[in-house]
Amino acid sequence: MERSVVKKSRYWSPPVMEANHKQGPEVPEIQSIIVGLSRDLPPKRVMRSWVGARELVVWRSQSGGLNAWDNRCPHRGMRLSHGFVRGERLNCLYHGWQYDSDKGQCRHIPAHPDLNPPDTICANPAFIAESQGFMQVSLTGAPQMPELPLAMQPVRSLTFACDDAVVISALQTHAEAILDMQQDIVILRESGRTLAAAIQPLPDGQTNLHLLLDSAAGRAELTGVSQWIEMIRRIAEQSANHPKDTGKGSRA
Amino acid sequence: MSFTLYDYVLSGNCYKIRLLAALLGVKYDSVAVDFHPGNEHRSEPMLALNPAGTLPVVVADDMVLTETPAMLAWLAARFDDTGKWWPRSDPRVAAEIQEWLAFSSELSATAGAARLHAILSRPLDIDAARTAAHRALRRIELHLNERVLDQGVWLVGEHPTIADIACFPYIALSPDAGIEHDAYPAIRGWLYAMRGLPRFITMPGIHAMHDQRGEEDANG
Amino acid sequence: MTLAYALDDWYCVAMLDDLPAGARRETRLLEQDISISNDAESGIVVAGKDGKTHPHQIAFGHVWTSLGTAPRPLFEIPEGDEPGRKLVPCGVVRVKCSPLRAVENFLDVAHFPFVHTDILGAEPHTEVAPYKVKVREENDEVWATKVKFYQPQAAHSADDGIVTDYVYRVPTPMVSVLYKTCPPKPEAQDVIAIFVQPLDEETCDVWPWMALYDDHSTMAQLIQFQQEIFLQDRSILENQMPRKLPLDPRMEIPTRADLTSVAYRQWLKRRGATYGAEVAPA
Repeated sequence: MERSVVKKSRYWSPPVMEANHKQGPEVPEIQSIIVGLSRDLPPKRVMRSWVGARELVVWRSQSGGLNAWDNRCPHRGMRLSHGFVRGERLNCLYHGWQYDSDKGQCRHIPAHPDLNPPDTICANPAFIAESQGFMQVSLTGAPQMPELPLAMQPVRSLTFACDDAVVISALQTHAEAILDMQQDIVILRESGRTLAAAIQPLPDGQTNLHLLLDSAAGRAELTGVSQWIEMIRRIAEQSANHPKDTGKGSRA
Repeated sequence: MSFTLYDYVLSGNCYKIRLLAALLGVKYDSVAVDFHPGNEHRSEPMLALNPAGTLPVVVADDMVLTETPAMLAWLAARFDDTGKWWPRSDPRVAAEIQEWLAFSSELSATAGAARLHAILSRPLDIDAARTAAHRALRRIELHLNERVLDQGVWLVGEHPTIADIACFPYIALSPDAGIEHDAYPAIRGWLYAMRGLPRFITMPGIHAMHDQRGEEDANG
Repeated sequence: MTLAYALDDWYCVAMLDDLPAGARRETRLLEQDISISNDAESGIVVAGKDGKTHPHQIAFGHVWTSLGTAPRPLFEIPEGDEPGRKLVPCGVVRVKCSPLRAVENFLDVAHFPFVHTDILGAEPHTEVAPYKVKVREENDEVWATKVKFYQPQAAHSADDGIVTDYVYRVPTPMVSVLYKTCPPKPEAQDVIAIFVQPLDEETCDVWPWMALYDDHSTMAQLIQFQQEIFLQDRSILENQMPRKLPLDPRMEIPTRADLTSVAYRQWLKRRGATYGAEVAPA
């Protein structure tokens, strides 16, 4: 998976954003990425994620509408990911400013209940879509959703304390077979089942992995796959700490 | 009165008792102890009550409890007529609850200690504490994801227990020390479920459940 | 230079009660390591890493120091000398934020219903009525008056919800004082202040202090009431981006409720008190 790597820039315009983590040495310039599993964002829930170095609030309205916005309230810079959802609006935790799903328009300022907020007060939306269990965000246009070979069910998302190259290498080394690599998804076979692993590099040098499994697999297999990916993580993190160790051979 | 709680508003351990009492609807007497800046928990009168010099302390008649898991167990046994908060008739369920009560000490020692360092500048190897805290969070994330796969949410069984109460505060408060929850979707779902419990109360660092309140008085 | 201006102010760096004879506190002020000790012979000494001593004074139960050569005079809070008041130093809390963000948060009431829910404010009483802000020329301080807000529990001494009158005062860039309705003695005002010690531009130690009329609450109860409120603010302060306070008005959007913060930011810019601030847009 070729990707041009550019030196990180501290500011992504506009507005000013800052990763809350220690910055990795080089942050890939990413425009579109899978940020999580649909299962993990039911209606009214709010989370945070990143596309490259750009921090976003990702949230779902009561009716199910998905949103990904710059994680910053234009009032006093408060992270919107600490906010709360009422109906179709995300409310900033600091002063309760209310922003409409989809366009991000501010519709209500509690300190001035009779004021119709001017159009200029708006969150800054990115593009988000979901399909087959993955949520994907794009900074530039409608996200290109991946083609998965069969119907899949969600397993889990987990964070690896190493970069995406190490994660992919561990998958390549230890899975039964790699079936396909498209965009940022590794389609692989393990324990006779097809898995889809979406790889999401994070600005601090860590990597998220969002995992789906063949829908036909049973409950016990879900646990098996979860245990397997824990092992992959141990191997990948171990090899990141000890780069000369290829990590092969030990199925601890 | 039911019991007396020697309490510090910013203590996650004290909050465990305040929270369970609120969820059970139990009223109690509270004595504010000046942990910071006064170090009153280490004053002679407090040491006479609890030689460990820790908070919380729960006193009822001549019973003095100084270990938080014991306080949770006593509160549940004494005041919960449903028996749901501390189910112990099934040996396996009883053992699983004990597992998480023991695990909660690991959370206090890592995430809890990191928080005291970040807020009150208590001396600590903060990097080691953060690393250990994330290791603990990964363990509980793995378990909670299994529960999600079972269509469940609580640590043990189909309703919240003292296992959830014991583990909740220091996980919920870990961002006070820069230990964020982005890597733990199952934990986030569990925290949200905890905060939605009837009669839930907050403490500083744990936000009020504004989204539920909105259903009562919608405006805008 | 932003640091040059900041050097010539007095900063709170220790609590007197924490410095019995023989005690020593090590800390950091404006990116310099300093120590404050209570020596048997010399008394309170504030020293830099190189051994150089800095002047100090005791005010409001705390030790103040300046690293500058010609510090501006320390402000006064005469209410602290009134008989019958409880003087309550609340203990230091560290926050990863700009010292200026900490002060600005203290000046704001619109967040009360959301951050200090059911204590200092509650929905649906969210409206902030117009109030008055001016810079007092005689001592170049920012003052906000005629601020009113409905509060379910205005103080530990309050039995019921009341409409509280607030007066806000910024005597120096990193200190804010508020004067609010005192529930048991409505003709007087409770005084609550924060003294912000900047470790660097994005980290501060906040020293809250109060001068209250309250004959019934214990010191522990008074301290914890204030700590609860401040720790609720801490979660907000550590999540405002950018960390440094933007002084360019295009970066953040104020409303009429933010008059005090707008005046504060303009006042900082005019004085050149830009330590902890973003001056240029991104």
